Amino acid sequence: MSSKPTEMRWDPYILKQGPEFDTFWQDYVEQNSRRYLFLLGRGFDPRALSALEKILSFGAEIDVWLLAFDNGFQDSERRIELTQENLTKLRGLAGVTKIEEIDIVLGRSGQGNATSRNVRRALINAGELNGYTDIVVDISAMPRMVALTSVAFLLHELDNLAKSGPEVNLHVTTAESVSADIGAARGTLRDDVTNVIGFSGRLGGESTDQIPRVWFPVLGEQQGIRLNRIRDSLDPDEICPIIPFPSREPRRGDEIIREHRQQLFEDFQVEPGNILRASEYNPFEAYKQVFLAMDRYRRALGELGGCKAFVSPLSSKLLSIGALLACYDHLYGTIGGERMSVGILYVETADYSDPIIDDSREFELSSMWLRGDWER
Amino acid sequence: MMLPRPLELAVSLRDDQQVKPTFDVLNGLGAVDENGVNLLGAMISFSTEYQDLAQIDRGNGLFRSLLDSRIVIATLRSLLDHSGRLYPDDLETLRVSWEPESGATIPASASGVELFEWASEIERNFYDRMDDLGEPNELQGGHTRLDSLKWFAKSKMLVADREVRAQRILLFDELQFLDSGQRQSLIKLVTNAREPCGIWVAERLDAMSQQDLLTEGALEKRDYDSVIQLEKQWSTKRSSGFTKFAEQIANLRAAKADGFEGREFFPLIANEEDPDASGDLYGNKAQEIEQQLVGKTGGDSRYEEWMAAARGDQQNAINTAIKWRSTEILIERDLKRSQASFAFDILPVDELEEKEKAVSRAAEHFLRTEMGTPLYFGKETLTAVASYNIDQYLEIAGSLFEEVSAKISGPRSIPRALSADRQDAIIRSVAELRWEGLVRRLPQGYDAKRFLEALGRFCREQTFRPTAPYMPGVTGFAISMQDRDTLATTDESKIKHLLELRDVITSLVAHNLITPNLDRRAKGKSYMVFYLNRLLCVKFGLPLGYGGWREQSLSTLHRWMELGEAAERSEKEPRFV
Repeated sequence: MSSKPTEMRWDPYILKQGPEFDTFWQDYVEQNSRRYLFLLGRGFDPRALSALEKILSFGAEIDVWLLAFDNGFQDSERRIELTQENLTKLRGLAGVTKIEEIDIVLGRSGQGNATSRNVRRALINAGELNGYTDIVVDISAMPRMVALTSVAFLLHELDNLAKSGPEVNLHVTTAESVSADIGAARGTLRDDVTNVIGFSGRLGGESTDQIPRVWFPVLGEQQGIRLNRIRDSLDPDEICPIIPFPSREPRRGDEIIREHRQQLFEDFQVEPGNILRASEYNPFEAYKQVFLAMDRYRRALGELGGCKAFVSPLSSKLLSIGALLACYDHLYGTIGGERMSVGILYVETADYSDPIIDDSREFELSSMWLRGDWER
Repeated sequence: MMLPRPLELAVSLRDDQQVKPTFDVLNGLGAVDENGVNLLGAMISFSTEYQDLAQIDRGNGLFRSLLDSRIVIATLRSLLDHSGRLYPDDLETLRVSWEPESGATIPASASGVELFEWASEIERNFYDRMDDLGEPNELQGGHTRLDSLKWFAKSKMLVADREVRAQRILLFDELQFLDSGQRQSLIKLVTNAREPCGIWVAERLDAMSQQDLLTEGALEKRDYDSVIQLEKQWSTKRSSGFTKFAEQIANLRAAKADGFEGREFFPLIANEEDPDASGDLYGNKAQEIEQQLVGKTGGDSRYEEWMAAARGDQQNAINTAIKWRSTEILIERDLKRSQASFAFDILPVDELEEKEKAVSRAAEHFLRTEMGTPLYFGKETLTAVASYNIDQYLEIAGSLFEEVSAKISGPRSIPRALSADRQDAIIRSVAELRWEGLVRRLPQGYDAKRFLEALGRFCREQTFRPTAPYMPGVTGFAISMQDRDTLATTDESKIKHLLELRDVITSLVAHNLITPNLDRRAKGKSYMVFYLNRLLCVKFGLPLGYGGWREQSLSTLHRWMELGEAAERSEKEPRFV
């Protein structure tokens, strides 16, 4: 048990979006002697290279780890074509010799946390991190489980590295538009519920199965099946849905609630007062909301034997990163009193249907500086 | 069911008409009697978290530790349930003593609280390791034996100072979630332990190896009583109660559904096609067949009486059309035979009636397929299409129920029975959904899909031959027992070219898409027959009856896997020799 008061690691924070993204990275790159490692997913998403292209344009020298996913399915011709286009463009941008492809086998139904395990294993085997001053993870073209595991693992590794070695900066970038995410979300789901490695919440623990479980599903559109599967697996005592608000589309939160109202209020018996709001476009604000909500339960139930908190990132990738940071801070940050078990539960997509590409869709680049020099 | 709470429920509700049959069966088994529960069951249900442990647990020592802790906790919970006490509040009332072997870590004599703390510590260590985000290092250590087996079987268990004398049974569930090394280790430990308690192990077929799936009963009787494969158990004649069992479940579920109270499910499922709904369709078809037969036989007097009997049929239009189609099959058969034997005698009507009975099912299937009228409907079809799998039954029955219940407009409304047409469409859509999900569920999904496409095409071609030689149709294939041995037991280095095929067949068996039957004899040879899951028969438009199969060589099966339907097409195309 810690006698220190609880501190929130990412309050204050550094987040640069839209025009600020360019200004920040231009200034950042112009500082001398930086060596960058850029992680991105090999995929069909046309937004995947936007952040890298921008940062390269400011003159950065960048090594690239290209995460190549294999979900065991044959890709459609359309998807192969789009992925190949992205790959050709990447080679032109970064240079063939700068790119290292890292194979990652995605898990299938019945294989539990295989995806998350394989991501961690692949990153460990990929090489040393301490030769770089900055690591940038671009999550635009990464499946959710891959993105969350990569960020959590690198954050943890770099935190540990800094105890006795160099301080390496970690940034997360993404090119995001809500409508594009809804369009890309179509696909078939795995049958089982999995967790990000390191965030089991001790869900299967026999000796702790009497401890109340509080579930924070971070809601997005078309998440009914995932909600049902996770709820069946978790059997929570309390549910606190988190909706995006404020949001670029002011009614988005209301629409999400409307879409899932039968599940939430009739099947799950959610108290309307339990619904929380987290900023859609500011992941650090979302982090703060989720962290504080979790902490309220931790403190309230601490005297009664504690509780376990579970978060399900079912909304945009930015909001998911905010939720991940809240969980990470509860496990590894400075917490006053007893820590609680924290789990991140998700239902992975087994295979995606063909993407609908609409070049006219606007997206915005975001950059989150998670650790390193700014914390000193 | 073998846990204290459900057993206690069966005892306390034994006078209830719905519960009494269950109580009687349990009573017959000695699990309960009028005075209470005589069985102490403790259940350990596995989950995929064990697979994470397997990554770092060299030698499975940590797996055994975790399992020891979970058996102890499950036993404590069960003891309290058995005595009507609260878990975990009343742990202090328990005391368990045993004679540990040297090195065993379960305390020789400990209260429930002490045992719980002992087990909790193991679990805490497990999660501390599992939730470490850093590089996982391989670990050695943990428990060298599964001491909890002996502890469970032989310890003296006291609740509030009174000894519990119930028979003990350990239940291991969901073994398919274990890593294969953990599964093998557990089965070995359990079979070698030979402890004086019941041990029950349940798993889905997909956890088993090709040797487990393609051979049978290697260890049976020697190390354990028997393997009960549910589908196979139901499919034996002795267990023909599947229909009754499945219908009971469907009725009980329907009775519990909102807005369906008081109604019965099966009267709302039509068992026949409404003859009026199809207009002149069947009558026209009968005429069409008659004209074809006249053309084919050229007015041959040999078939006069058979044709006259069909013409004089007084049944409804559907049955008359089936009769004509049966006659057509029989004439086809006779034409084929008489061409060889130059037979000219007039065929008598009584011979027709006898033969007609044998071909009528195939005739009806042919007729409905040719006309595009409903094939799959009615209570019997619902049972047949389940392939003796209760989940499959409920999936299909659930889809039919959904549509039936949607037609209920008020508390007193009695909706019209679901038509044959709608049933057929719904059952086909369930089959299509299963088919679409196949690639996602199987490890070699595309190979498996191609294999089944070829098998489906082969079965159709054999089934729909004009003489209908295989009754009611071909819905399976067979390999010789020698080929079976090659696949199942030969050293892998010697059958490298067949490994992919072996894995595909194994995964199809594991996912219940084909069902193996050993030692079927035909023409003096033994075969292993694989029947298609009946839902796949729907997908391929095949009959649902069992019986017809054809032998295939491994090279043909390999071609099926590689080429799919094209393999069967290429067989028929002329080739240069």
